[in-house]
Amino acid sequence: MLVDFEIIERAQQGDGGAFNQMVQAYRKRILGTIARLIGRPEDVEDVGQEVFVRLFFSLDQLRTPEVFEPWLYRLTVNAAYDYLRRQRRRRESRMSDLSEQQVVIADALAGGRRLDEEQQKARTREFVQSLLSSVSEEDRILLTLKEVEGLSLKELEQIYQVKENALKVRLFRARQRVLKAFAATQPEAAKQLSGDD
Amino acid sequence: MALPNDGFHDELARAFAEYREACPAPELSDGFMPGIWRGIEARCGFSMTVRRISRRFVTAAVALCLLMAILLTIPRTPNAAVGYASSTYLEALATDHSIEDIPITDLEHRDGGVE
Repeated sequence: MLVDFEIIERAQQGDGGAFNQMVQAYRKRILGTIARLIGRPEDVEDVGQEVFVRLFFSLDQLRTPEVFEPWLYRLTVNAAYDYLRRQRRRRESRMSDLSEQQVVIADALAGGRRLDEEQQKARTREFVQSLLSSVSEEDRILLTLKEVEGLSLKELEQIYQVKENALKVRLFRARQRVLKAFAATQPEAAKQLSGDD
Repeated sequence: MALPNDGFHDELARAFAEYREACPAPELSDGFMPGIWRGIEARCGFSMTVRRISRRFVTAAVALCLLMAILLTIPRTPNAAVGYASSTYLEALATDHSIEDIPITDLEHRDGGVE
């Protein structure tokens, strides 16, 4: 926990100063998560503000301060999901529509070729975001939380409020869909895969 | 279609790990906190307006109900209350059309009419 329970309780009672402290404590983490979830740096701040505004209005629904973090994550996930849904039309590019450059990036990633560090980072971002945009918003958010944010199944259970088994099934299916898209970017590997069959 | 093999699993895991490193920490602008409070005030303003309107509506409805209840319970005139509520039809008729009130000319006309 980045803040004391007392601060959360004070914020619940309408203390603006305590609320500010909570925002200050969590904003970096939340904005980082949003950045990785939505993949558009220019909109991260707007979505972050939306998360904290929602937090302000729903603080009275928080029963115990112990569950504050997963609950804040849930608000973040919901805000990111709403944003991604609004942006769906722009993000409907399929892996089959990937540019030549993106295929080269995938190839470079697979081959482990050395690229200039910054250039490579930018390409990695573009590539993973392309992969994630090829699946639904639900899959994208779930995979990002698990694979990129590194949240445990227990934490995901609290955020999604579903049983671990159901979560595992959802994760497996989401991963399979991304893997298919990933395989489509690597013709060499795909050939090997079809050869194996 | 064949499912992707373990090699792809590893590659994908590596891509995700690199993605985390490749995402820069978002820069926080000075307008972040004021923006949050603007958003809160805007929503407070809207919900307060809705609340105020609904409160006025409820007050007006209660006042109207009270007024109607008063109008229905209080009799319009005291005479009416005595005349219509506590006497029979014949008594009421006698009170309203007592023979003393009828002008003489009218009585004559009536008598003539009967003959």
